[in-house]
Amino acid sequence: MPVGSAARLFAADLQLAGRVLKSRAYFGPHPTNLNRREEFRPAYGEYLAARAAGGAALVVTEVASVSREDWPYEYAPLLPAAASSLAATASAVRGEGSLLVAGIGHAGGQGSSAHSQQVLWAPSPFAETTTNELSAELEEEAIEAIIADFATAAASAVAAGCDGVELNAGQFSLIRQFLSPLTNQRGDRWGEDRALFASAVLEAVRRSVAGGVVGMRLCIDELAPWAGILPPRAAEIFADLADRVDYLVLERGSIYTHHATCPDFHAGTAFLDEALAEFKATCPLATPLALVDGRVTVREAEEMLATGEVQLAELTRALIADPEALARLAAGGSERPCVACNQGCQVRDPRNPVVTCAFNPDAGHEAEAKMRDGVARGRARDSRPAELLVAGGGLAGMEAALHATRLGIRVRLYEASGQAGGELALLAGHGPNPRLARLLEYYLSALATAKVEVRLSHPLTSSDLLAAAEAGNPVVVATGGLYLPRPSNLARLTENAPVGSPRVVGAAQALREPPQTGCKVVLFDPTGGPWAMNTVDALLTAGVSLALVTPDRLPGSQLALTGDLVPAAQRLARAGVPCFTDTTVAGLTSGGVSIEERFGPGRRTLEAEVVVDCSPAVAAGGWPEHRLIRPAGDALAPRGWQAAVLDARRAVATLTAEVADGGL
Amino acid sequence: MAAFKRLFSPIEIGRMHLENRIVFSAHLTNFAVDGLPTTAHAAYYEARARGGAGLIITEEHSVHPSDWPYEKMIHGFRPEVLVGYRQITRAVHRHPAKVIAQINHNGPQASSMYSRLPVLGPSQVPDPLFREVPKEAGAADLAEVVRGYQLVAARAIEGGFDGVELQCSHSSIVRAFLSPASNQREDGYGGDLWGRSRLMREIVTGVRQAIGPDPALGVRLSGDEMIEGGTGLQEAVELARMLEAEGGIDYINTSIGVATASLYTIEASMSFSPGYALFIASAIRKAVNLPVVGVGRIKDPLQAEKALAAGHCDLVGMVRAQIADPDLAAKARTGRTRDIRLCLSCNQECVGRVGMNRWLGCIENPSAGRESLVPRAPVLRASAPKVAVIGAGPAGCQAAIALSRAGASVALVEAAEQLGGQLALAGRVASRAEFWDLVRNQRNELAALGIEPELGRAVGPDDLGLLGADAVVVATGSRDVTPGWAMEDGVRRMRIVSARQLMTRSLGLPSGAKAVVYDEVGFHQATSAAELLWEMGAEVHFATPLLVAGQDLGITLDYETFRMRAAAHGVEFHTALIATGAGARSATFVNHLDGGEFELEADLLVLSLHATADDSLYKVARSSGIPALRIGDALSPRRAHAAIIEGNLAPERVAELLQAARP
Repeated sequence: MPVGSAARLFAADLQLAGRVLKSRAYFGPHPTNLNRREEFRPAYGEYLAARAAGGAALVVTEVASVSREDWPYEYAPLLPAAASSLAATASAVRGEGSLLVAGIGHAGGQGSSAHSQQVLWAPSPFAETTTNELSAELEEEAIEAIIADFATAAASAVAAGCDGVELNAGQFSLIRQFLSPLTNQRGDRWGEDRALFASAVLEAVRRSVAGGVVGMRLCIDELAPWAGILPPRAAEIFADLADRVDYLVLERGSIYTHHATCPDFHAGTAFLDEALAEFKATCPLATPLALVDGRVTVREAEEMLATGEVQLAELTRALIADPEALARLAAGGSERPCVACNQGCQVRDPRNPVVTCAFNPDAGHEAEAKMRDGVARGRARDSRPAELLVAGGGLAGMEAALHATRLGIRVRLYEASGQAGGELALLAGHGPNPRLARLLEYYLSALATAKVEVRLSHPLTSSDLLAAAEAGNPVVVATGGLYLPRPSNLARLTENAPVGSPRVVGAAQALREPPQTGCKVVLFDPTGGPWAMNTVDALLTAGVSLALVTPDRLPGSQLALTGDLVPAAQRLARAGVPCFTDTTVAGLTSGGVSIEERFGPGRRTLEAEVVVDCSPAVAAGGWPEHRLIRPAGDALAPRGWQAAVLDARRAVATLTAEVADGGL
Repeated sequence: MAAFKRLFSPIEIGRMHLENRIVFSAHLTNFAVDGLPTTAHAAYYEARARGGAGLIITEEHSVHPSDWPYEKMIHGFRPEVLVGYRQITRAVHRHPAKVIAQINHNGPQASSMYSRLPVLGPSQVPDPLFREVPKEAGAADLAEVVRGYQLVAARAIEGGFDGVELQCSHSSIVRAFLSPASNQREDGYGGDLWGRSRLMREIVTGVRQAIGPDPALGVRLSGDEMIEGGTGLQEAVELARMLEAEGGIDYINTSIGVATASLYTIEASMSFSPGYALFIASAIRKAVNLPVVGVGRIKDPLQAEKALAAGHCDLVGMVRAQIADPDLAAKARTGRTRDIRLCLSCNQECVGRVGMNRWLGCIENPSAGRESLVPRAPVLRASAPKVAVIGAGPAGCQAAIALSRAGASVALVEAAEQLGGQLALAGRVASRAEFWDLVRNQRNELAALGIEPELGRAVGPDDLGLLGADAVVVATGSRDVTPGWAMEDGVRRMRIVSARQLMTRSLGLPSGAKAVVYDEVGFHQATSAAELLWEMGAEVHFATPLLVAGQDLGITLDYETFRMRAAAHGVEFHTALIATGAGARSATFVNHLDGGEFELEADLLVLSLHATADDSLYKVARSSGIPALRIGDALSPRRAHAAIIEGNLAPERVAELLQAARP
């Protein structure tokens, strides 16, 4: 087997319960909203099978509830109710030579009563952090019933063709709640020995899966040092369970720190190293181990395996971003790296978004992508366009170019500026996420490998585009968006502004040319999203004197899913940034901005030399109407990474069809 | 009794005859599954038709795949919806009511989350809620949208609907075009009102063409968007005149606000006065001859009758009133107003749940949204056990009602001198007074069942046997605990009360006293306490470990108005603070974001913390072998809907317990 730079990952030398793993790659459990309460749906099977085909050896399903009263989110599967549909998922994954293990759990007091319409049950009552709902203390009979439910669920998974189960004793789990003094203050035997419940569940599950795999996801640090589990305690707990566990996954976080378990790039990488050292000092580990510790690329996984610290590489986000990453590396190519932005893959949200990836919108939509590309490939075979012209070298443009080359189409890409990458390059160069630079690198090297002709500092005019289209060459317009004065943004205020008013710039401009250290900056954010918070991070790094104004109730109001909501609030507080919430900008004054409360009479002036307006850009428009010319990304309507990539892939497919049709 | 003479007079809407003036207007339900209407829709609408509503207008159906703003929207653009349409219309038509389909395209007030397509709008102005920059709709896009309206309107008629309503009011591409705040176009679809209304006029003409002359066609207009630069009353009246002059429509429905900017004015909470939006219908009715529907938190038949009598409108939209009591119309018509389960406009389980992508429910009507489930059997009729319900708060009262209905013989005992438990306290500030309607509703329902609560009887651990019951339901609520940080060596150094104690209004407070409300719960308990304190003349500081003060008031649409009232009374808010101590004259805190320490001077500290379940009687009963159930706060202190749900399920649970206890 060609192993390229992923030799350790491809080592097929690890066995779990007598089953040989084809690699060291582990694709862990995560909510997807692809399933239904009592049904594992075909789309989920396709989603997992794509990762298995790409090299994941151990695939774990989204955690299924074992008890009917546990319904933590609307589409959380339930076992055994969903077991019959699990068979198809199992055969899809096992058909790729991978193991499928069923994630099973009970969210306890960290669940939701919205769908069950029942009280939440916990070892001792505590308030769920998001809803503030107080749980009730489980009674003896109910505890015994839940243990039996675990066994029943596990048996149903194995009967459906799974290789075993993974018990959730990490985030969102009743088992952890029993293990921890933070959530277990019981005076009975379940409180005197807090590990009793975990042990009883494990015992029951072990018996019920017979020779199957039993994995365990365990919390190594609850990040609540005043009462929670700390690494040495986690080690003691595991020491007593180890003989019944085939592999172990360690993660951190508990009731107050949902956001810390699978955090975005701000948390850095290898953030469990210290905890792991403490853990191992207490309990030497013989069990194959994986870590959820911010290492999200295959390259990092390979390095981690090389240290010998872990035997399994946790590649969940890596393979959501690029299911073929392993195969690509094995073939000597490079992976399309996950950037840990958490903007598509985190879907534990009442809106039930389907799991996907900010940079790979085909994730979670495998059937649609397969159909789109299959048809396009067929049409290109019939009548291949001579050449695709791409105007604009930002994310949408680069993606359109690469996608076209995958269909065997020759591409020329024109970029007006002196650098490819557009806003991706801008954020990679000036924003807080170092991983974006690696993604940009991937694009640039992939464009070079695919022999895309890239012409920088070469803007195309409308007549260039039309000429190409008239000559039968399709065109993707990916010229992005612009920050222009609009009635809906702050640039409008500059029109009648008094002398000495602060300069108003868009967020992109502020990143491109950050104001000088000490400059008084007021940032206005009506979006609450990651782009604005990236700008905040960059401005703080630049050392400006910052104040934040938002019409929202709190800064970064849309960041709950990325996990950055609380960390962002902490960064702002620690940097001493005054935040004016429920507030709008009313006008510019000489040397400042006047702001007003949305729900009160309060009005005041903030000193400012520069106002950074995070209102979104607008599409510049202006491309000629022609059936062979398609806009993509911000040029169509400024949205985000995901729309840019999806638009690009769709535009290429549509144009391929147009060319083929035109040829008839 | 010739009660509500106007309300129960028939009316012709175009060629559609209505038996009365009560309209169950359009509202989201989240009953759709995978884009299609379900039996839950049919059963839900039928219940209101059976209950006597004159006209039912369904929730919106999307006319085009580019419009999919929330997960559980009905995809009118897919032909498969016909099955569900027929199911709904057949169900409603078993009764004298008529049923209309509301069809819509939300334009920029939408998300690409589900459609994976850019949203469409008149101009590139992002919606304040969804925050996506729309694709500026071109001529081809608009033609496709109009075509979508035509197709879906025709499909609705094919599916048996009596007509179609075009939602042009609070969340719609038509609204976005009408409103100068979102329409900045310079082509024929922008500019003056004639230009901005062009899309609406094209749709009206197109839809009338598509459905023919017989079905009713209505337009819903917003009379005041309640946003800066939005459409106001004058333009709304002008639009109504224009619509009438152009012809093609049979009635005008009204609304207020923009769903994604000023929702709190659309589905206003109990802090708004009843009929608050009638001025819109009233102004429009003066300008046109078309029948006009008036709306705005009209929750009882008397208010509705008065709105008609005053000439504000020809028909009255009553949504939440009929969610709470599907039989409102029939009860009003037959003079049984006492039996009407009045809506509270609490918004907790209707608006609040729907906003969270969950099926529509009701705090006091646990069957709301569950009408399609198998009707419950009277599980206790055969055994007719004697059940003692201890505690007459919402859980206990509901249990008594449900148990009695299921065939049990019920004794309801309450330690206090009044019913309602904490509900009686919740209503003690003006903006929350209608919470008392829940107490009234339960009291009337108990009376109708012949259950006389025994008030002022405290049940002690030794009294359980004396009740002589086959089973007991413990609904004794919860109690407040003073946390360790608030005391020094077990002694309070300053005046400290719980929000609950404060609400008894038994506390004297010198005017100008400094009061600190400390809130760990995030709901109305603390904000009502603040409100009561400023009414008492105190200077109020509000501190909370949460990142938003009163964060869950957003669920009930009370956040904005509470903040307005609080600002008017000079309340200061301090977030991200964890209380660490209460000295003689001040409370101390630590900021959990930056670790900073913080101090607030105080003469009084009011605590809104999680209470502790008062389940001692349950434990006694269990240890003495008496079949026992604990419900509501006695199980775990939560909100009123949980108490009602658990009370309502008491018969099944009691039947299980008795079954298990049988030798």
